[in-house]
Amino acid sequence: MAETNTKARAEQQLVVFDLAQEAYGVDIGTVREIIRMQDVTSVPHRPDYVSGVINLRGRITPVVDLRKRFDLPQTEIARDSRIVVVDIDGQDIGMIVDAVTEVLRISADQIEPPSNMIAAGGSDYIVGIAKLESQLVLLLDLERVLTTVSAEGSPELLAAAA
Amino acid sequence: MELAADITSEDLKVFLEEAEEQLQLLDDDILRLERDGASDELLQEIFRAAHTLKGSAATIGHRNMAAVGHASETLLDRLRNGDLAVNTEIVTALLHSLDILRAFKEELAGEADEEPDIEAVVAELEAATGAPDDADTDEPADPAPLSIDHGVVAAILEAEAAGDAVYRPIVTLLESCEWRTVRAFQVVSELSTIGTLLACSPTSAEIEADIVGRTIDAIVITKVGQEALEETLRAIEDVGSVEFVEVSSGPSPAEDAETDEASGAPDQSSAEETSHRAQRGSQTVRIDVERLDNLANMIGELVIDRTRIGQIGRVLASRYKDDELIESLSETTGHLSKVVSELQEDIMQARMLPVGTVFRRFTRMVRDLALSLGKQVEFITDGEDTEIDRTVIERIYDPLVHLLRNAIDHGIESAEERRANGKPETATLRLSAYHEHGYIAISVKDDGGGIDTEKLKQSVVANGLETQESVSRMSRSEAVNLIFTPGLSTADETTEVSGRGVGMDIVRSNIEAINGSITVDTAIGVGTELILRLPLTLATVNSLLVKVGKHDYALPLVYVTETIKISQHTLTTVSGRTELLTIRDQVIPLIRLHDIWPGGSGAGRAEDAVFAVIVNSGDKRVALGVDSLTEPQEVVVKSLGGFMGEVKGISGASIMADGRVVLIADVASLVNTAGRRPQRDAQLQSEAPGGSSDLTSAVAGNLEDAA
Repeated sequence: MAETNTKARAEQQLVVFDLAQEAYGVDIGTVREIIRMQDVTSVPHRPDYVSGVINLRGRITPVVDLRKRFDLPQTEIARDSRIVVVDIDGQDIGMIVDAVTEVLRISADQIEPPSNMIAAGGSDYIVGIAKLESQLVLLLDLERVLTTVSAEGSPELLAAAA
Repeated sequence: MELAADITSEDLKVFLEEAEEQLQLLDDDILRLERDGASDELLQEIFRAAHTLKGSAATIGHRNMAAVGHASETLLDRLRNGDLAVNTEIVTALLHSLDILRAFKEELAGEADEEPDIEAVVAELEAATGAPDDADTDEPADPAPLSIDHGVVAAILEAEAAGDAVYRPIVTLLESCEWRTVRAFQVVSELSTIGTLLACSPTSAEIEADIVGRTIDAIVITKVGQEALEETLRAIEDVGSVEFVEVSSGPSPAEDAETDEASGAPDQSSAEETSHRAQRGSQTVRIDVERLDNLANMIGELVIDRTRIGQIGRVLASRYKDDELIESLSETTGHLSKVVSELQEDIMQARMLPVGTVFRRFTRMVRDLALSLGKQVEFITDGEDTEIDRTVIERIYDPLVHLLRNAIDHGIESAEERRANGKPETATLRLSAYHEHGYIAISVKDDGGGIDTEKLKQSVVANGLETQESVSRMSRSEAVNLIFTPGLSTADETTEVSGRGVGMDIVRSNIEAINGSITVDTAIGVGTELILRLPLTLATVNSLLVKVGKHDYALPLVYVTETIKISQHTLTTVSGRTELLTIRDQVIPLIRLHDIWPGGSGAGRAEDAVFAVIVNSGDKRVALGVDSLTEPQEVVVKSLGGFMGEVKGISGASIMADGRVVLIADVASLVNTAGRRPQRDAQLQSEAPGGSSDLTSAVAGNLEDAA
């Protein structure tokens, strides 16, 4: 997936969101929309971090709780909580985040490979770190964050995704 | 395979669709010919369809297809002239030619497995045709009469509407003419030069194949006028006479316009029919199914938006009571609501097809199969007009093939055996469709030997699928339902016909996959009836909404036989774990859905279940424990998507009018994995489980009781 390959482009636009006081970024090209929290219908027999499904304008859309996904401490859903809907291989998947903060334009030379020093949640899924003047933004490999969910949840999807 | 060079994919698509229509028509008619005997009308219709097919094959330059078409046409011509009488050999030859034509068609559509072998069929047709007449050996075959198909009529109408003149010149060549093909070619090229040639007999393919008679019959649009046209044609060498026949989109030209040689001319009424059909045809359009599905999806989203707008409107109304705009908002919302509902209904209707479209495909199969097994079978179909969603139709073809094959192969006895048992030698196999309480029922009924449950039990035990002990305790109905045991073959020895490894279990799972059900009714020596109950559409499913913990689930009503309130005196616990409900002397295991779907926080405890929904799947029956019930309603079926994968006990999701998502229970899998056959005490004489015939009212009645 070219959009998530952070090195492939000279310049990149990121949607930046907060999760347990850390800033995470995903390529704007993968983001379909950002919506307010809404009722999630839970689906039985799925991993804990799969919150369930929502009705996204008539489409059944699965939602993943990123705090649970990254084993971060749980908090109440707050006013700023958002669902970031991303497109992974043609399927929309929602991610619950603490807040969506900004859209950033960064250049490739601002991105560094992930170091082992990162202690933030989801370090296994970080493909790079964007160093900005005031903050660090952790770039997520959405493919890994979301499709490994499915691989664990249902072996069938591995074949479907291949 | 070679085709004319300038065939576009669009042309090809049109050809394929037309070809399929004609092939289907021929299939039906030829079988009718065998069953009802020959009539002038029928032969004429068959001839016309064969001819149209040959013509369109020639148009796209498919020589082989045209050749087979020609051979069958020759045979049909002799039938029509009364030179031959219809017999099995002829019908079989004709049917084989259809197979080849269909194979060609499939080859064109890219669906073919292997190259069709035309020589054998042409030889078969020629053998059936018998020795050709002397005249035929000398003379090349006659060209087909002028075919005025939909396209031509449409073009004529268009030209007339545009004020252009349409002529039908009939050119007769001198008897002395030795170069008919050349002259015909000249006529055609002249006509093409001075105008637009709409149709011509002989066609260019026929001219190429030297199939040219003494007359050339053409329809041409030209601006040069009749005189100039006549002059141009007369200037061609060997042209004896040029007559003009009036062309109109209405009645066809007079019979006498045809010379004796053009013996295949359609009679007046048939041409009229053709043109009528053409006009009717222009009132419909073909539409890609995918586009229709897309439309249905978008309308589904509209339905949800409509509900949202309604809700927002109500909020606004309470907030701004005095604003005039609120009233017009609610009016507009009301109107939108009505239009969207109508749209939804129409799009559902547009997806419906009569089941006859799939029934027709069986007539031939049944005939061939019965013939090959040496059995006499009268195949009757009923209720072909019953409409059902096209997606359902696609999914029932294979199961029905299997059921019909089974009926002929295993159900129906040989003629001798039937005679010995005092039954008529010819067996009756009836395939019927009818509406039943919001479902479509399709019944496959034979008057054969019925299912021998003792033999069935032995076979199941012999195959290690059940123990001797368990089968000996089975009721007759349970034993009959053993036919659905995976891995079972009921045939004494595997026959070519049914020994294909696909069992009744596959049939059942295919039917259940579309929220349908299958039941068996059989009596030794009298026959077997299998009834499929199918939803009208796969897009929606009539469901009972139940609450489990804090969540709602939809249970497809097709599985539901009744709902009851659980009371302590009907509930017994065995082995400290398994709960059993006793309902009218029948003991049914209770599955509390809370155990299957542990809800999130706030989920009710399993002990709280107060209602039981009794569901049936195959021969198994279980009670599903839930917290509460609501009115049955039609819900739209949506997939959970690949990310969620297969979820145990869940078949999909639906969006309610208020925008909530509700999961749809996969009742068949719940019953089959969690359920067992009804447990029984030795003392309890149980009623055979069978589907209640009036599910909706049964449930509604129980809801009232529950309320």
